Amino acid sequence: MPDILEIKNLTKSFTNKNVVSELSLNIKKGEVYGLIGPNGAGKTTLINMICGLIKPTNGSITMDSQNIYKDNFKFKKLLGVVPQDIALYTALSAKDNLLFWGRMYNLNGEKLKKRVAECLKLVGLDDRANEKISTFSGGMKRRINIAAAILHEPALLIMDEPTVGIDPQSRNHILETIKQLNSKGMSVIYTSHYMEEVEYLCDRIGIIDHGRLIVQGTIEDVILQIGDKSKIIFSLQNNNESAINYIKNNIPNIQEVEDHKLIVNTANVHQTLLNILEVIKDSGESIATIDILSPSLETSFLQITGKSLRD
Amino acid sequence: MKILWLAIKDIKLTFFDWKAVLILVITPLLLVLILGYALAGVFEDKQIIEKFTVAVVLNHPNNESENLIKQVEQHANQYIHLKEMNQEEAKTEVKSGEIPVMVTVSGDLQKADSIVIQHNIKAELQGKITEQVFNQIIQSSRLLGQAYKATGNTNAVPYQKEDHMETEDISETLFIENSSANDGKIVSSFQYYAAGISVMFILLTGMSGLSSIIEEKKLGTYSRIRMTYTSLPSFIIGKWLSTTATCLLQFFILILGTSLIFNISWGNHLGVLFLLMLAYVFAIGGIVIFLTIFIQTETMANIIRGVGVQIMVLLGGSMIPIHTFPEMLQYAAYITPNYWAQNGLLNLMGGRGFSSITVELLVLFCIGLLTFSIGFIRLSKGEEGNLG
Repeated sequence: MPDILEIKNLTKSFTNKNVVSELSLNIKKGEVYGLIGPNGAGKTTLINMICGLIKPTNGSITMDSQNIYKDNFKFKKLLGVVPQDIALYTALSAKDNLLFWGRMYNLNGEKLKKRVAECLKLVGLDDRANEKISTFSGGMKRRINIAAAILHEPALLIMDEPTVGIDPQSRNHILETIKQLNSKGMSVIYTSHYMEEVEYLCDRIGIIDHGRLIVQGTIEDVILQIGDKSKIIFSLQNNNESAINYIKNNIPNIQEVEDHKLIVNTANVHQTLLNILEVIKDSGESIATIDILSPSLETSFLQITGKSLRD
Repeated sequence: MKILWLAIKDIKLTFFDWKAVLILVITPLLLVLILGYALAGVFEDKQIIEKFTVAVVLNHPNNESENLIKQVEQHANQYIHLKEMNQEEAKTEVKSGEIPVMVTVSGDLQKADSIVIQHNIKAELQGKITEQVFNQIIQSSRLLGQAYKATGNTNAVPYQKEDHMETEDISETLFIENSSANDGKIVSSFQYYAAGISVMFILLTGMSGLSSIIEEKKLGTYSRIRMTYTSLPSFIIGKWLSTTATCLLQFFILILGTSLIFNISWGNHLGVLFLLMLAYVFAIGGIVIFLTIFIQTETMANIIRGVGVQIMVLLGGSMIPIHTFPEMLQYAAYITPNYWAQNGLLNLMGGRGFSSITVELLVLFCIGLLTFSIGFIRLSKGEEGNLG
């Protein structure tokens, strides 16, 4: 699949401090790309550079093989942005807002009206078209925020945390809308603090920290690259001290955590599980509970950045 | 075309906000109404204060001083009753409050400080009325004298000097209805305040354009606009256009409202009036774009609206007639666009035409052009500029 966006050695400095540093990444046509990183990692600066709001100190951004700073207007036609803030005029109705934003994208006449109606329907708010944004719930506002970004049918949609602080119903609606847009061929850059959303939506992800791209690939690739292990967590029926000591001495990489729970990190779940069961039998104890945790994006992210994504 | 849509959106936002409409239209009309009622007596021959006695002390009386007193008695008998007495007697009466005001007239009215007005501490208003009455009689006599002089009759030129009057505890005139607009027809206080309050509220409305730019930055709509095909210069011109259009619309409503509700005349030259309105709102729009270079936060914008505009309003003479200011402040008023606009409006209200406001038009146009150009060039720099 060809690239729709290619970023090469991008650097942005503010007062001699690199906020984005030598960052390179590519977005393929028709994919949903998850851009994740802790707060202050440089995501917003990167997005602002892709949107043309700020110019990079060094490096290049090409869209459909053209430098975005050479033909700014042509590139803006291909790009739609859903900002993190609800950037709408709350005193105007949903329809008036969309008409205004459509006009800012050079849409007019019947085409504009048609697109406004289509987008309102897509986000499920066509029945509330004439109501003021100020009367909408947070989720509804976010849906109109998305509608305003897709009026001109962009090839690449950047969504900066589009589900922050909304109800589950609106979140589901937004996620399904993104799936729907992507199924029609729209490429999406998606940033979120919710790992489950990233895992649900994204074909590939890139993890950014300290202005650098740490890792990029499919979710499975990233987990594999980071080399995180599965965890087998179990507890014993009687918590007999001598039995626990026997188990600890005979199972490698075992740790005891609170409430007499024992954890074993392993790359080979099947073999380790057989070994654990045998040692427990030999110790005279029996298992009360057992849980197997596969490596996840969340644990991988934690391992790479040392921070939880929501920190 | 996008510029127009940007401006229409702003105008819609302004007029969809009932509080803004209240400030834009109803408040100034209400203010004119209040001031109109406050001065209703002047217009309907009703007295806003009961007739009162003024003690007159004639030192070395002669024809001139006796003639002055006669004229005051003749023309102001509905306001004041004159009672001649000696200096000591008058002072005692005024101090005790039996008589609120005393006027001491020296024999030679050509001399400075030839008339001294003193009033009881509780009778400031009566003191001002007395001062105004004497002032008016002297002014009309002076004009009469000039007319005599022009016809060669130099024997009858009474009260030629302008600095003949000294007042105690009185520093300003009460009635505005006899303010003359640059030797043209006299304008009423209703007209004066209609002009003053209109230019003041247009100034306030203009400054809300400044707040609107800051609000767009805060909401994120400004960044979003920049992500569309809309260029930065289009955004700036759109803001300028919406500010000037809103001001112009408000100006129309105020003129229409004051004309229909209070029967205020804005002169006979509607085309010239429109030109002056255009020049004023052009200047205000330019100032707003210029201020955007420096004003970055809502707090700063509120200070400009709250304090800056009030200073300009006071300095420009919208609330208190400018001729009552010290000379230095009268010169300082030249830097305010509202001074020029108000001056022009008063000239037109006084029945004068285009030639009477050419300087005002030129100054306002220059203010608008200069401020807009500096603001536009500076802000169009984008990322490096203050809109970046």
